[in-house]
Amino acid sequence: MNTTNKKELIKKTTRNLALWTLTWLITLFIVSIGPDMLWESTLVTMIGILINLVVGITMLISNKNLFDYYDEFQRKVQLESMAFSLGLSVIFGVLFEKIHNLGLIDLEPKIHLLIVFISLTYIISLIINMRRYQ
Amino acid sequence: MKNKVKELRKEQKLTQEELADLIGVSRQAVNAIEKEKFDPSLPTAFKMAKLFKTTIEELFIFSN
Repeated sequence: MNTTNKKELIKKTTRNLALWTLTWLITLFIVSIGPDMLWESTLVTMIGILINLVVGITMLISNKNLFDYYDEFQRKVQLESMAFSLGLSVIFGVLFEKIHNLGLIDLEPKIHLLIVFISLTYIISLIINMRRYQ
Repeated sequence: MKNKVKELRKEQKLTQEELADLIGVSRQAVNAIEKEKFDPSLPTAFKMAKLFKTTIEELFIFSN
């Protein structure tokens, strides 16, 4: 595979990943509001959950494909960012729950807060890492 | 690790982008190697040495 093809493949796979991520979010949103606002059947809910799961797995495969096209430097930057994000999420996630259990804060530790935290720390550490190596 | 990548690239009148294309890595990777912030893998080091018609020991200077 020559470098031009590799660059094109990275662009194409990034677009695919963005598309699958958006589709996953849309299916998640529909499954979340559907049983209350759009339908009453449990079967439809089950089908919705199944579709969301399939789209989620496709998004995961798309992310893995993108990682495979990265060179050693890009992989290092990505891995460091993911490690930093994961570490912070574990530390702050556990701490947040403990603080809540002790009654020091009213805000409940919910999964969507964790997802937002992981996303933000990953993006910030990716920007920091890209600048650090330039 | 110290290296002579930038020096040899300029001797060959190559841009970072062109060198990156020739050895199959990103321009950012070449930039990080030249600034000695990132050590390349053995296959990449071999590709660079071959391209510059030198040895890995000449291109990269190991120091503790």
